[in-house]
Amino acid sequence: MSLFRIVQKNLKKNLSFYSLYLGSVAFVLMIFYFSISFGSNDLIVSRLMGDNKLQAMIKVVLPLLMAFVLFYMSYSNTFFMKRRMKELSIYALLGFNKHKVILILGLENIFICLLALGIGIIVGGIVYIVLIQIVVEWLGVSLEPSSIVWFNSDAALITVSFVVLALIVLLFSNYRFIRKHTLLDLVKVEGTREKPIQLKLWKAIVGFVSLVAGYMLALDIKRGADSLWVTVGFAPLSMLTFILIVVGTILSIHSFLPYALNKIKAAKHSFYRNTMIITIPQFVQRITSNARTLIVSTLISATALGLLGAGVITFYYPVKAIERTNPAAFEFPVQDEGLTQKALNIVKQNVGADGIQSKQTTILEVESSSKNLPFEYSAKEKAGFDLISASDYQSSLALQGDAQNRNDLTGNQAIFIKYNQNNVDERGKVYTLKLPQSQSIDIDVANTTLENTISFANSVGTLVVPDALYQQIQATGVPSRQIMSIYGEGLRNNSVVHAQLSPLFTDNVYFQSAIGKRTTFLQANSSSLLISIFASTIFLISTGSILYFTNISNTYSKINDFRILEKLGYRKSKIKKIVNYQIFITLIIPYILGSLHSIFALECFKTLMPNLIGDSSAFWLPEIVAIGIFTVIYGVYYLITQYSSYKVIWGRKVKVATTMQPPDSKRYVSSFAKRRARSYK
Amino acid sequence: MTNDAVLIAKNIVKSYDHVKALNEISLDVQKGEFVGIMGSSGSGKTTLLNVLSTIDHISAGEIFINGIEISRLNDNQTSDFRKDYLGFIFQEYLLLDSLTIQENIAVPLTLLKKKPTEIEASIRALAKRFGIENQLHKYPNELSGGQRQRAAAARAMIKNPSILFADEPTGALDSNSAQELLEKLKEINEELHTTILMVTHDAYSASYANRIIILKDGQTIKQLHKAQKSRQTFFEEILEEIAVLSNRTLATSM
Ligand SMILES: Nc1ncnc2c1ncn2[C@@H]1O[C@H](COP(=O)(O)OP(=O)(O)OP(=O)(O)O)[C@@H](O)[C@H]1O
Ligand SMILES: [Mg+2]
Repeated sequence: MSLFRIVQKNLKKNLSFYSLYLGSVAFVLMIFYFSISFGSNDLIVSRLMGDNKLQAMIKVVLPLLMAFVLFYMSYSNTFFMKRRMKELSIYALLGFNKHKVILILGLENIFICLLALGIGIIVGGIVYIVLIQIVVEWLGVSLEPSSIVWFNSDAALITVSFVVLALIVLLFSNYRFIRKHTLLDLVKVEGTREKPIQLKLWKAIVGFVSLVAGYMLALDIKRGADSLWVTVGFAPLSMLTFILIVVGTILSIHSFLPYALNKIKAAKHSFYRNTMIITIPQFVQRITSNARTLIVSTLISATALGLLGAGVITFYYPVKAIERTNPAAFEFPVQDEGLTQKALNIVKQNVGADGIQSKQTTILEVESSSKNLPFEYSAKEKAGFDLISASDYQSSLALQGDAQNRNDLTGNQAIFIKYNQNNVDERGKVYTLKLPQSQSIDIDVANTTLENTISFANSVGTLVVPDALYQQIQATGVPSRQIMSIYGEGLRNNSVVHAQLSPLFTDNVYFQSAIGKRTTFLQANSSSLLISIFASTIFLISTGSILYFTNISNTYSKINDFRILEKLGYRKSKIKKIVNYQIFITLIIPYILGSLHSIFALECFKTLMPNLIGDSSAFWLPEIVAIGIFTVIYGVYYLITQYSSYKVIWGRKVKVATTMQPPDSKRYVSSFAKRRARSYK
Repeated sequence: MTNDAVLIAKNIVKSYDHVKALNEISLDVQKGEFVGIMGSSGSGKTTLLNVLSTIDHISAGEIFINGIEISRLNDNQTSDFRKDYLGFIFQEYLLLDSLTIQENIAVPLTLLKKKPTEIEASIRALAKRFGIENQLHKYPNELSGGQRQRAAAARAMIKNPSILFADEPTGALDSNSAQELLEKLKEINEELHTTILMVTHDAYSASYANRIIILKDGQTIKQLHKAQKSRQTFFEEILEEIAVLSNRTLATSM
């Protein structure tokens, strides 16, 4: 039989097994090709991302992706090798020399990888086209049709060379593996238990300490100016945190897993149960490769969740902040009485006289001679405090739908309106206001609030003062300006009014429109949100797939065990339970650790974002979105893995069953034995 | 026969596409019997053992174990039945290679929801009987074939099954290991009155049984009883019988 015939026959015989290997490799190559062609298309990247932070993230993500593909290919190659080894070593027993075995294995591997490469590029290209179309359609990003080609020759070249390189490395390591081992080792290779991971106390301690230290460093950023992130520097700190978390993850999984398994085994009441007694040892048997898979999945999913959460934060914070940046539906300074009337009339024409409520606020501009002024004081063209009266403030709040009475200021007390929630507490401070004719007056900050009634474009560093004080200061003749705020049912979302009003105020940055701001923002940022969701979903799916193939490969190698269990009287439902447990263990560890990592990373990231929203419930939204998507993806993977595992165990009609040898081996061996016997006569 | 029969098979037939692997076999097994099943390769021994032990289904006929007609049980009931009443020893041992010997032997008892202390006590006792008390914390691939088979026997015996089914249990063992295992089977048969059905090729193994059923082309062609004979005499009788039968086969095939 020629080698090619053998390879061909083998491919046919083990079709379902090969297709699993083929499918998994094709899948990662598809993701790889897709990402490269996406990332290498400068036009699209710059269109979609602008000069957003996400562009920097892509740079981090691509090498990670390469490492992942490499890991995955070597992982599935090992799985493949082990499965094939037994059969091939029987050929060797029949008289093939090792070189031929290596050759057969190599040919099979090359064949499958090249096929996977082809499939990966084609499917990746299709996914790429579809996604670009979606982006173009939904977001109205204009792209020349010429830039949308499914076949990106650069990306294909990178992918092909990468795969060829990886393949060469794999073939070489296979070669060394077979050279190093005797035939007997090769026959036994599938059933051997992996070396148990030794439980080392120092590993557990270092791992745990690194994780906690990493988490604490991440949170340290919240201390603001005093934090190590500022005093030591952002770059070294982020590097250190990253390393601590990676090291912590590796060592924790390496020490925690054996520890937990030992504990379960030691607790006889839980171990001597008909499911546990099978699940735990089966898991332990592959502990080294299982641990490796769990570490990689944890790290990748944490990265993905971080990316996703960061995307959501970057998107959600500004949208949410529109409630504060634009308290009124429309707002503009009153400079020209005619223009103001015209604007009010336009709104009235659209929504009727009943649908509009307008409020004019007079702001007094006062400078202060105090030291230690809040940053809001000078965060504008002309430094100073803006004074508004308590009754104006109260009635504007009422127009915003807040009827609560806050008009309890007396004497020289004031409420300071903060720009953002920060570490500075202005309460109890006294600011000296300079009045004309070298007069001055001291103001006590009785309280601070995030509820501003005028947009930050028109007023920052605002103090709400009691009406009496307000009138007293106004009487001294300090400069002032008027702001017109327009409120009304549904007016914040009325694009018709916006379209008619904005021409009146072209180039006027003090004209503020809630809907205008939102539209501009959404147009500029939706695509980056979409990209971050998409990229992180791909990553989560990748980790799900690694775990899927790990589980399926475990199941494959355990078919005989399950057959034995059936004979011992295990019901099908019990065996399913055993399988479920194993799938569950492999999914839950990256799920919990990955989520935890991402929560701390996001807490850190949030500090970098200007936080205009004081409302603390909004803080969890990014985590909820990220972990929500994570939960859905892993939930789906749990079900798919379950289904496929059942298929592997019970799907095929042929009884693989009781003989531990590959299908044809008995015949080969016995004919071989006969031949030998004959030759001895 | 007497109402002490644990297993009654009536006219059982098992057919594969064209072949009738079992052709109208009837047989009774009494409680505490040690029955050997012999026959040339392809005569239907494994098939018979598999259908009697609920692992495979018959095409026609009836099988009762402990008065229960096993072909009427659904899948779950069949599993439970095996769990409660039957023990197995296979030629290839079929130990779970990820579990230690101790864990392997424990499995049937965990299935019966026994307490850990109870499980460990019975394992200790049985391991001693089978001479593997020092191997309990090893894994199957660290044991010799004979030790593995004794471990498998211990696993089969640990729950005191009504019937122990063994398909060529000595097939992969050298004569010493085979003898040790057979002695153990004899011992539990005599001391614990476990009913044993054992398929074997080999006259020596068969001589440990009280009764031998010889199959040919899916039918019982001969039964031998040990009665009060010594094992040596019985062994010779079996050898003679085999010679006669194979001559006859030779004659008919010529
Ligand atoms: N799954 C099957 N499909 C078709 N025919 C089968 C199947 N299993 C067994 N047979 C046939 O049934 C007959 C009896 O087979 P069985 O395995 O019972 O023989 P045996 O007596 O155990 O032989 P050996 O001593 O070689 O193990 C044989 O002719 C065999 O070819
Ligand atoms: Mg047989």
